Amino acid sequence: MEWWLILLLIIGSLVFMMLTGIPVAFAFMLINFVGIYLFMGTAGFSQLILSIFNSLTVFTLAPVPFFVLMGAVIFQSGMAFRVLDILDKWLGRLPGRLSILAVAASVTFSTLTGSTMANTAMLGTLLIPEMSRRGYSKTMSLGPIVGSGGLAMIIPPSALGVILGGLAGISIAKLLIGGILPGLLMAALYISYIIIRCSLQPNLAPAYDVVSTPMSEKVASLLKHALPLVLIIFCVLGTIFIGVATPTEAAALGSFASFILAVLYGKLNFDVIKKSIITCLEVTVMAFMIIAGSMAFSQLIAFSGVTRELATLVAKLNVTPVLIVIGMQLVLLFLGTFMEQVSMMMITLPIYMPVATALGIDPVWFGILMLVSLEIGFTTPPFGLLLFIMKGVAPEGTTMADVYSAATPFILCNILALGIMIALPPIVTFLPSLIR
Amino acid sequence: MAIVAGALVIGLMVCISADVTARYLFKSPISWVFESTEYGLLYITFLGAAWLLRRDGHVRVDVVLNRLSPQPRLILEIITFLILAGICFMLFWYGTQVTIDNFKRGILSVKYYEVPKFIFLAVIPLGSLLLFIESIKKIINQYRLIKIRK
Repeated sequence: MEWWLILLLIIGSLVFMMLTGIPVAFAFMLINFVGIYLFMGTAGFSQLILSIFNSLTVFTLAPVPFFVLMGAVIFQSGMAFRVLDILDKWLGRLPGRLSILAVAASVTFSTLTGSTMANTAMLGTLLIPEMSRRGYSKTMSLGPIVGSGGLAMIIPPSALGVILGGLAGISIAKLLIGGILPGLLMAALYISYIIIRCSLQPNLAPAYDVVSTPMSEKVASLLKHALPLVLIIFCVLGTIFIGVATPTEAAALGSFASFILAVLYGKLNFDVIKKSIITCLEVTVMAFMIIAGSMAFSQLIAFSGVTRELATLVAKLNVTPVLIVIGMQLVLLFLGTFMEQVSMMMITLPIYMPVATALGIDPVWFGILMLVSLEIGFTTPPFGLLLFIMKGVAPEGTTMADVYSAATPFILCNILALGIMIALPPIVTFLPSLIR
Repeated sequence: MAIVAGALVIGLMVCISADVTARYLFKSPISWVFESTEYGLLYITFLGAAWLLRRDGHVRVDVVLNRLSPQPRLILEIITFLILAGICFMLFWYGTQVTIDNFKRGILSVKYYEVPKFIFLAVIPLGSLLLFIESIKKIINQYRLIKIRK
């Protein structure tokens, strides 16, 4: 059989199985069983078990549960709400003030958690009532929250970044640190868009008088509520950056610190602990089952010779690597309209990484580009997950079409950011190059 | 089982934090932490998998399911859970064989310490068996729903 036919068959049957609604992890397992049977007979099944074993006993994947746990403790204990309050006090009178507040809060929360869903849901619940009371249009209320919700995946700590690094063999420390500037770039684009649009059409976000807070109170609340969170950020990013801890250790320290802070604020009780652990287990088990199921899938694709053929084909193609990179991102954007992020990664990585290596592409740069494309997938209609979460917390009478049209300008901002990163790789690679 | 998995997460967190501190302050790392973490990840996943299935927490693409009317939807769900049960049984069956094989041949997992590998492998058939039971429960539930609707 031709190699491309094999590839088409494997991917086709996988997507078909997924569409039946079988959990993604088990769709992978089923294809594994069938594929291994066809290639090696039943003797290969014990190899499958060992491959599951090897796929999860990987130290570099360990930050995932800890990052999620850390974020969950910070959110469940209510420490995160304080941040919103502080930002509100410090932000002056700007066009589209609350929309900018949403983006700024999103960036801050992103440095504390790797969960885009929690991020979006919380901001939506907290800010949208206030926005509609102030007469904000849907574009300026729903849009910024959906758009910036995905930043949690780019700005470290990012659970998805860890998974990507662990599976693709990219340095996780560099991948996490490399997400900082692109994340800020995207936030800057959102804010510029909000300011420009609201200056041109002030009726979208009516200005209102901000109650000014005395400087002493501003500083006091900053010290009391923001400084401890900065400590957590240092535990995670600082220790990685100066080379004291591996990402796994940094993540464990960060989650440990979040527990201690919760105790110090008197916010830690049994309920918070229980809910945090449940969130942590849900996300971890879900992602790791997909990894367990899909590791053998990657090996199957490699075993069938597809990867080798594809890599030689691409290497032979007489186009610049940048075009191929762009093409790969387009495929991700397309998959993102209906598929979940970890599964997208598992389908594309076994094909993308050999090609990227063959072309001599910087893996950190490539990894961040992939993360941004995956993040855009969270917000693209018709099935972007964040859109549904937004619909869930939006005021009654909001239609899916409202959410779609509100999200569109921010999706365009993301695509613009992707373009800038492709044109100017140092935005991604500068900070990682400083790590010891 | 989910409680065990939850306790494992917390335990690992404390161990790793202690390890970093010990290494940095006293220059004496706790060497078993590294590999325990790796096996911990496998345990957490397989102990939590059945619990997550009960909570409908495994990601699935529900684009098609959501467009079906209730009756065909229930039937399709029963079919997918049957497939799921089949996969879990296969995992259980071959997982047990691999575990027994490793036990008989006394294969050691050699990283820093020599530990019999079957201890860690065993969680795969165990978790798969629980998943199998859970998917059978789901099938019975869906079947009851169909009956009620009739």
